[in-house]
Amino acid sequence: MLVTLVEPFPQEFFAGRSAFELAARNLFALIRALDVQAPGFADAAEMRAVLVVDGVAVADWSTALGGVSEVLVLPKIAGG
Amino acid sequence: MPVGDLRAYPLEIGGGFGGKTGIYLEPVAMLLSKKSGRPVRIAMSREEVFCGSGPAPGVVADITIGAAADGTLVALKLEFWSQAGAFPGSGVHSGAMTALGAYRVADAHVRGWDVLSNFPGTKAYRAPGAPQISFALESVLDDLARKLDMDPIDLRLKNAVRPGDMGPMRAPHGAIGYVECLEAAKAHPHWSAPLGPNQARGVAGAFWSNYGGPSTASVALGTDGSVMVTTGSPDIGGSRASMAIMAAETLQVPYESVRVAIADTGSIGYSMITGGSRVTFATGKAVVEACQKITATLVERAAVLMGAEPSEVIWRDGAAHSPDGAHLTIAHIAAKFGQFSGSISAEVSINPLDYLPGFAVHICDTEVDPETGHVSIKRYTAVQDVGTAIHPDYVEGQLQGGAVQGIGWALNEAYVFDAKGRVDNPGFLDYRMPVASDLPMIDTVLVEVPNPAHPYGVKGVGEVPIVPPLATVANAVSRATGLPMRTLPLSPDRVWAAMNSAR
Repeated sequence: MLVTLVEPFPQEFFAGRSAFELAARNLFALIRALDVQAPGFADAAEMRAVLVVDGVAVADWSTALGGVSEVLVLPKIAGG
Repeated sequence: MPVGDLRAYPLEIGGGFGGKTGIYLEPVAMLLSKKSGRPVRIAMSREEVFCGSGPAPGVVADITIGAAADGTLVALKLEFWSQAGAFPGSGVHSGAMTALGAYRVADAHVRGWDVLSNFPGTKAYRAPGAPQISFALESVLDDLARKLDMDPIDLRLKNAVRPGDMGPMRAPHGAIGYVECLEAAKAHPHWSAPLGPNQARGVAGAFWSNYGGPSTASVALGTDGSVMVTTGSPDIGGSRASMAIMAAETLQVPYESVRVAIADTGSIGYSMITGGSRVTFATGKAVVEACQKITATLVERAAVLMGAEPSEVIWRDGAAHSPDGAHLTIAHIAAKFGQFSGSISAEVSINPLDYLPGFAVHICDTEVDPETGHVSIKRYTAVQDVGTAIHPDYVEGQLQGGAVQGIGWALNEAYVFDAKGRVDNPGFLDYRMPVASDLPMIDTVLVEVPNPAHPYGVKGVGEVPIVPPLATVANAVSRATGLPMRTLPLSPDRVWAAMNSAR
């Protein structure tokens, strides 16, 4: 499963790397796997990230990832 | 102080406009109250509001656009600098999304800078960051249309995003209606109406992402079958009426039997801020789901009362109908609460992210006084994809209000700073907002392309209408004068100077 991170996360946590090939049972597990590579990312993601699973934004991180080909990790955008 | 010890009571607000999504004096009042042991009220003067509560950021943008001879956009390069003031957070992300949200562009590079300076902090203002960037983008699109001798709506139609196209954050667009908006604008009588002397017509499109997010709603039946809907989303634009309509529709009862209350933070589960054009979508979805639970309970109880199986009972016109033709109204069933486990209520908390963006197209006729440079708005039409208009009058009001605020930005509104960086026009005598006598009736066209992820097709409608007016007005003035209008506001002195320097 391809995991693509959108700025500012690659620069801020992953030394500029924006793509990972990872296997994870659900989105919580996925974020934990990313946190192993960049400690502190999981806390930041809870506050600042939106996860898009195969093109659909998903709020429930317990969503199973079987058969998923891509997860995008996007920054939340402020509204008004 | 533990968050659980804080209790916020929503009051009537004439409008949110983004600026009220933050807090200013509340922590000070709270601390003073705690210290003194007495209630504390702090109110800002008008001057303090201007100086201390944060304007929208000013933006300088450098934009280049490339197109094939047939008008197909092939490249976009945009760099912009957004004035954050003393603290970061001037809507750069949403500005960048605005540049990428409405058109197919093969190659795009957008870079925004959140510029800090010794100025008052800027704050969210209705579609924060978007109107400024839309002004840059839609102005150059108009330049391109003239260069190619194309109808400006046709140019936009040629390049407009369609469902399935990649959105600005790399997730594909869902059931969006930008093309439908452009087609409606082109078909509107305004687009082909004759113009008078010194008059010209401008058009611009717009994208705004909207939002969903966490909301909680509670629905309870009175013992007479009346319906009480409670949400945690302060009503800043008529949302209570929309909640009542959706509840009445779901329960199939008269609108008049539904009451809507806004609870304080100690009386209902969590709801995210009222902003991001999210309430009618997200909180409305929670209301509908709570009403569906209520209906299920009504059917279960009616089945018991009528001696039928729940699967045989149909809910229709505010009553449960059994196969033998018997029926029990909502009032009958609600009145039997003492013979069941209590009265009927349901609370639902959700976190929907299947919202869809809003798109708009505005048309404006301006007349420029060649002697003074004064620009008057002669006719204005706002077209918008509104999903499903739950309360069409309120939706129309959002379009009109957003258009008028944007016209204010285009023609008059600006903070003036003195040499020390202090606001020099902190009052409505010197900060010129449009008033009713400045404007014609704002005509509206509600294009309904429903969001399939919402039970009634709702899309956010409150923010996108402020996005296109800046370029719409400026494009009209550019066409009237034959001069590019690159700096806002288009105050009479600025337009007069542009016309006279060109002579």
